[in-house]
Amino acid sequence: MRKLTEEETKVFFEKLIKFIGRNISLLIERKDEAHCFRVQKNKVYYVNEETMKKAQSVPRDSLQSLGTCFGKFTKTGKFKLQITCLDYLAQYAKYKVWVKPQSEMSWLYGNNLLKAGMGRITEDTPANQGVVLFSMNDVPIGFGTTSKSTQDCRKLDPTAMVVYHICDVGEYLRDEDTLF
Amino acid sequence: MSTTTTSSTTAPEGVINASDILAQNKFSSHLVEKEDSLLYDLGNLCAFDFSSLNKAEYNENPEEYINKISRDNVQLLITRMFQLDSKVVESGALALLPKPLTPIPRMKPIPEAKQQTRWEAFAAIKDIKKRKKDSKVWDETHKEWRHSWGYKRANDEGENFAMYANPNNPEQDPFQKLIDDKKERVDKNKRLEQRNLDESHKRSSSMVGSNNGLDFSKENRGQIKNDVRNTLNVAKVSTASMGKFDKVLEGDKKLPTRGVKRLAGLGDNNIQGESENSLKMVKRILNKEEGILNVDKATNQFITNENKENMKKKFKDGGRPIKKSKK
Repeated sequence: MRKLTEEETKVFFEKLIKFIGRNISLLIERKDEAHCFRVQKNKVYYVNEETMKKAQSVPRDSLQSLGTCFGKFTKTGKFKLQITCLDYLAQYAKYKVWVKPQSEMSWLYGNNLLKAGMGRITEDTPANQGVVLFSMNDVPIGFGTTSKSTQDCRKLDPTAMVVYHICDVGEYLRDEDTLF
Repeated sequence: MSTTTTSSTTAPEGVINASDILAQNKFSSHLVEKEDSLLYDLGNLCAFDFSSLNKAEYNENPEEYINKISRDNVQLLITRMFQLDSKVVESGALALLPKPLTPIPRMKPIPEAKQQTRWEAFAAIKDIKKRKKDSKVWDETHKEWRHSWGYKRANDEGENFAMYANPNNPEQDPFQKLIDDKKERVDKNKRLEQRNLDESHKRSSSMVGSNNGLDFSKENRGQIKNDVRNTLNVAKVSTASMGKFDKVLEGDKKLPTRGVKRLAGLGDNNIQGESENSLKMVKRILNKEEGILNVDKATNQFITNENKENMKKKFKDGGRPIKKSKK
């Protein structure tokens, strides 16, 4: 377990900012309890101070997991978000998309979201923007990136792709063994 | 029980008799009914058959014909080998092969001779021979044989607890002088060694770019390319910041950073400072992103403004705006 290097921090924050924008500062400086980001075996964890200090006494090789896993760095140095960070993303998301009940299932199986399945979308969402998806009764079910802006979405036909899939809560079942 | 008694009277099961095989005529005889016109090279375990093929027989059944010839020839070769002198060893007999007759080319090119060093060239002219030095030398002070160099060597001046000062230069420390002289000799030797190396390769890393004896022939191309790339890589980062703040050109590869990457350690528990640093980083990233004009937003604003103005104009001109029919 170690701090993120400057390069890593940059890559990681850039990815987070895609989804939660300025709200990232609320993650970094929390009022209730000090939290920090830590790397352990390529995975980035969001931990509170107390847990972090306790975990320091565990050798690197034996430490399996701590706090909330946000994702991992690939071998080429890119960062990939994981579904486990959805709680925080949903809380602070800048742009949201609501999914109609009939296409919820398709999204949970890892498919992209079609125009037909989109219930609502935040006004003035740009294209290629990270968005968090909610079911119509406001339960977060994953995140992705938009293919079109809100403006362009109106003109699209129902079979066109609107949100590209990144993660969905179905992964809790599908990738259970590698997730945490 | 009855079966075992019957089988014991004849041959036991699983044992093959040579006479049975011969009766079945499964294998051809070791005697070849063919004129022995082969050329032998027993040293290479080779035989060459120069006789021409029988066309009629070949056309009839080519594969069988070729197989038959090959078998006969191999049989002849092996018969020849059994006629050679042999040597009996524990596990059987070994044939003593004669010297090979057919020259076979070597796989790899003949290695090039190493280039002479300057001393070797000089010694060759002056006819100076290398002489072996004794590794042990008689030490007068200790009255024993000691190694000529290294730890506890014979006649080691530095071992003395006192030395005469140089009468011309009494300030000088004679012990230090020994060390300095030694260092100088080592340095000189290194310098000369490097010179010999450079001369043998006709190039040195510092000479890249100059006309250093490498012509642009095909075999030097890889070397020249390598040299240029290395020099360019060094030149690229030869700025005041060692290349840290340089603009990376489009299509230019990022150079691998040298030195060890320092990873933040475990012991640092200052979360306050850490989050402050992170916030600074976030600010930097956001500033960069917001510097870019949001084209979508701008066009949307422009369009709505235009629409508003149009509406205003229509109302100003008097009369109610006409509803457009749907297309």
